[in-house]
Amino acid sequence: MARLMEISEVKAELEKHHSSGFGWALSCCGRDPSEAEEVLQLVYLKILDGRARYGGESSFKTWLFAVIRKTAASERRKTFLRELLLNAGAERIPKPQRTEDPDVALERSETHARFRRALAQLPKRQQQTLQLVFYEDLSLQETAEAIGISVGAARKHYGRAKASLRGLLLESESNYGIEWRRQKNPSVVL
Amino acid sequence: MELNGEDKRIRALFCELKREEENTAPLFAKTWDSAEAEFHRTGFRRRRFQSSANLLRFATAILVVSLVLAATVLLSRYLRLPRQPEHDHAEQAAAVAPRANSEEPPWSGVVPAKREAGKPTERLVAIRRSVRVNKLTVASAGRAPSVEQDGQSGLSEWQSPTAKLLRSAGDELLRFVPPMNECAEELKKFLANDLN
Repeated sequence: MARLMEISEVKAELEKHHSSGFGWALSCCGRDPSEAEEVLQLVYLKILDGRARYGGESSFKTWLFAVIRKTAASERRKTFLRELLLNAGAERIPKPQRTEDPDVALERSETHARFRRALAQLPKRQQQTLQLVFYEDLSLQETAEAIGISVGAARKHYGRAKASLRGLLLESESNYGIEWRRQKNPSVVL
Repeated sequence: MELNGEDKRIRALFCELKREEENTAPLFAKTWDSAEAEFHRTGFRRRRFQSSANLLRFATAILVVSLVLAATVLLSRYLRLPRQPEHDHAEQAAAVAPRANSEEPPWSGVVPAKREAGKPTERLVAIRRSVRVNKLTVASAGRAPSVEQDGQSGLSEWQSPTAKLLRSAGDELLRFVPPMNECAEELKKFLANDLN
């Protein structure tokens, strides 16, 4: 009965953090929604069969994010090995990136698309740090706990990520300006 | 965390991203239910696998411990082996010498008047033992004396170096008169085997 209560409590907490957990899973899975959903389901399965237990050392959200990150990493490794074994010697077909999908790109604003592209160019740790700080509103301490690094390292990633993102956005904006001017006046040579 | 203009801009971009992605998020009930169904489907299989994995771990631990114990015993035996022969020689020499002395009293010059009829070769066996002891002492004297031995031996034990040269294997034989009722055949046999 005590275990049932525990599960019901955990379930209520999971429901509360479901959408943010999905956002974090998206970040860990390269913004692939189906993969993120699968990872989230695996996380819930881990919690149900007791492989992942919340011990109360950190906040529930931080713990959940750490479990999601580890599960996503493990799934990525498994997928990589499966592909390696099955397609050994065969030519690998590159997976189409969601950001380059024309239908989706049409729906998105140009600024938003540029932001997504810039974010995708950042190293994994920097992406995760920005995602947790700006998307999930976590502190640097909580971010470090969720990613599994020290606070100093998290602060370093945070600073570098912001600088890189700013540079990438400026670059894309200037490219956009050049392209826009070319469209207006094709004879301009820059 | 205090946000400056740049941070605010990044936050705004992330907020927009979040809003968009929240629309694509699956329902919690759907994800939870499929996880629960998967748990009920694979629960028994997982538990069985875990128990067999535990058994395997236990067996491996026992195997490793027994291997370590066997290796330790073998190694200790191997390390003890080279010392044994020296001990054995010394023990043998120590064991033979007193027995020979106890069984072979110094010759008094008196011929025993009566001998046991059932054991005619007893005397010859005693002579053979004393000859063996002599051989051992000669062999040990022939070795180069170590520094420790030199230190231990005193002046009282000093012997002339030429005294050893005067000894022979037949000394013990010449120290007594052979009994008249001794079987000549056995005496010849003994001389042929041991003294020549």
